[in-house]
Amino acid sequence: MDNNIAIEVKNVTMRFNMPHEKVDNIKEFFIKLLKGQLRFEEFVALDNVSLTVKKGDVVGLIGLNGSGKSTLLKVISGILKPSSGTAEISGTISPLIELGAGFDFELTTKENIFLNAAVLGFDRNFITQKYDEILDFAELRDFENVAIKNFSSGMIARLGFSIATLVKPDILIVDEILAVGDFIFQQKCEKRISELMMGGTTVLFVSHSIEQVERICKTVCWIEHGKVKMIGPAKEVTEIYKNTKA
Amino acid sequence: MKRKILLFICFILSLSIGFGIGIVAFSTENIKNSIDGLVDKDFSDGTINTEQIGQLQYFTVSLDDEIYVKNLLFNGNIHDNLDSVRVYYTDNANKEFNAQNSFFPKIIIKNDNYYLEIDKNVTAIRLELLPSDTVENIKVNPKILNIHTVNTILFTILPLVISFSAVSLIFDRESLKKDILAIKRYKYLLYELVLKDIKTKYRRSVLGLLWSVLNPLLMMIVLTAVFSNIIRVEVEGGFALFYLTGYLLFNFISESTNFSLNTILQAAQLIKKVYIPKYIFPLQKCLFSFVNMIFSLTAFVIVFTIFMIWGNVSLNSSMLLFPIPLILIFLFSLGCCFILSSLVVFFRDIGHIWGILLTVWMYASPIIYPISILPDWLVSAIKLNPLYYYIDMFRNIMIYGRIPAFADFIIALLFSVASVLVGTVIFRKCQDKFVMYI
Repeated sequence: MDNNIAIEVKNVTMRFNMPHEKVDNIKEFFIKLLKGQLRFEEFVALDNVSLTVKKGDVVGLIGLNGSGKSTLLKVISGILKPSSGTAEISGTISPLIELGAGFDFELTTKENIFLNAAVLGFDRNFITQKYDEILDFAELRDFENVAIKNFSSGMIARLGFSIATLVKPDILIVDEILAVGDFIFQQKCEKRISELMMGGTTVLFVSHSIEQVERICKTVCWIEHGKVKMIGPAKEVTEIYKNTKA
Repeated sequence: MKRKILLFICFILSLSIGFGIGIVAFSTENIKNSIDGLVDKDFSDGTINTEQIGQLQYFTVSLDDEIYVKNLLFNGNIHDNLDSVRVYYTDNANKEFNAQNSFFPKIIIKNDNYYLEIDKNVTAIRLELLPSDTVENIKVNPKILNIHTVNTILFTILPLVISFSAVSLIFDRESLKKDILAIKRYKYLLYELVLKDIKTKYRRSVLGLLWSVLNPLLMMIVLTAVFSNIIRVEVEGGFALFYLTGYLLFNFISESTNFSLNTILQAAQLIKKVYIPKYIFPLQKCLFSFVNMIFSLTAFVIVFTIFMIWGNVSLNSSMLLFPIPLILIFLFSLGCCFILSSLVVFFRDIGHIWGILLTVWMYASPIIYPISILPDWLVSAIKLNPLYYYIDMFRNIMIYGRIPAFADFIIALLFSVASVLVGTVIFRKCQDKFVMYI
């Protein structure tokens, strides 16, 4: 892989088997096997997708619901293994696929910061140094010892975003999570993302807010029905995207 | 194609290793003399040690090695009251006899030959007779055939399993390497998770960590009361230590496998949303149980100290070997955890049946009984059980101060390696599908 490339997705196809019913015990499995009813319906979520992202780029992913954006992000972050093709990344990756990814809702804010950082591969000393910064950025100082099951979705999004960005990953994946914060926090997040970009972090950004994508991203990739419809400079792609939508 | 050739080579190699070891061991000790199925070791060349102590005469034969002796044969003239012929035996290297290890054998007389049923693993035997008795030409029939059958089976199957899974892993080495390197990055996570387990286990209990020691101690007291008074089981060195060692090791296996059954399902939240090498989770549970067992070893130290003061057992340099059986059983259990945790994702039934299987496994392991009380065929069957080797090794080292037999050590090692490799292969085959089933 080229030294300048952060993410290289080559001909990735992702197929899901959708059984008509879920078979999860041995008796049913053998009965279905004998009856020849173990058939699956295939669903192609990604169809021969290729995408190359250079280091330091900020790439937006747009597309309608169910077009395969999140699946692509999951393939890139390693959660899903593609049925065929390869997805390679260089450096550390911080995925914010969903709200509260990697949080244990029974634990407190403090414990979750350490757990989540460990999930991302950082040790205790490193996080202890960053701890106050994370807490202040998330504006959760008053809730340090509260179990996060009591939190609102905005608070969880803030916490998740602070941890993921304060550890300065090489690649940051942001999936829709900015939508839940209030506008002040959204501005803060955008500021932080542009700071990270200055520092050379590669960002993959998924949003339904076209304005936000135009503002933050340089390049935009438009995915439709599991295929890459268009890749190009942000302005051009979003113009066409907006027109077809209407 | 290349893979098939490699597998074929492994197959042939394993078969030859197994049969080679089996046949060599068998032929050198048995085949030569056992054609008539009887006499193997002859002591007529003067190795019978005769001595007279007080009113009694003793004939002692020493064997080169510990072997299983089916019966003992001698000719001569002895007194009529056959009920008073007493046999002492010993199965330790020092060849010391004591009254505890003695019995009155069943005797059959055929053409002036006396057959004594021994039916024990021994290193030396001593006959107690009256001074007027004459004994010559003592022979023992080792009949170790069945034990070697077990060895042959194990020495064939285990290398076979090991080589097959090793080949499968070699073809997958790129991603295997990546996974192994990932442990470096995720060691903090592993540490945090194990710590969390230990904290949550004893949260809100007054005695906390002390329960790790109290539990085995209390179990031992109950079981020792039952098995030394109500149902009598005679064990060398006393029942308490014998049971405690078996219990500690079995409890580790049972705890770690039970925990790892649900570990992938419990980690669903993480696995679905963040990339983490999934083997962290069974590894976490196995490590947690291992740490628990290490705490529980304190119970052994306490009981051992008490018995040492009473003079039943003594410290021995062989105890320094104690990490070996522990590491081996950890590897074995880790393999089991890998297999169980991955299969249970697809078939939840395993979670329900495992409790029953564990109970069966417990009674099939020599935890509450020594194998010396079992008939031949059961001994062979139990020697197919991997736990036998770990428990036996641990007991030999910790209680009896013996270095375990080399063949037994190799078998234990093979079981551990086979378990880890098979576990890894199965887990890696399944791990990419986890996310769709949890």
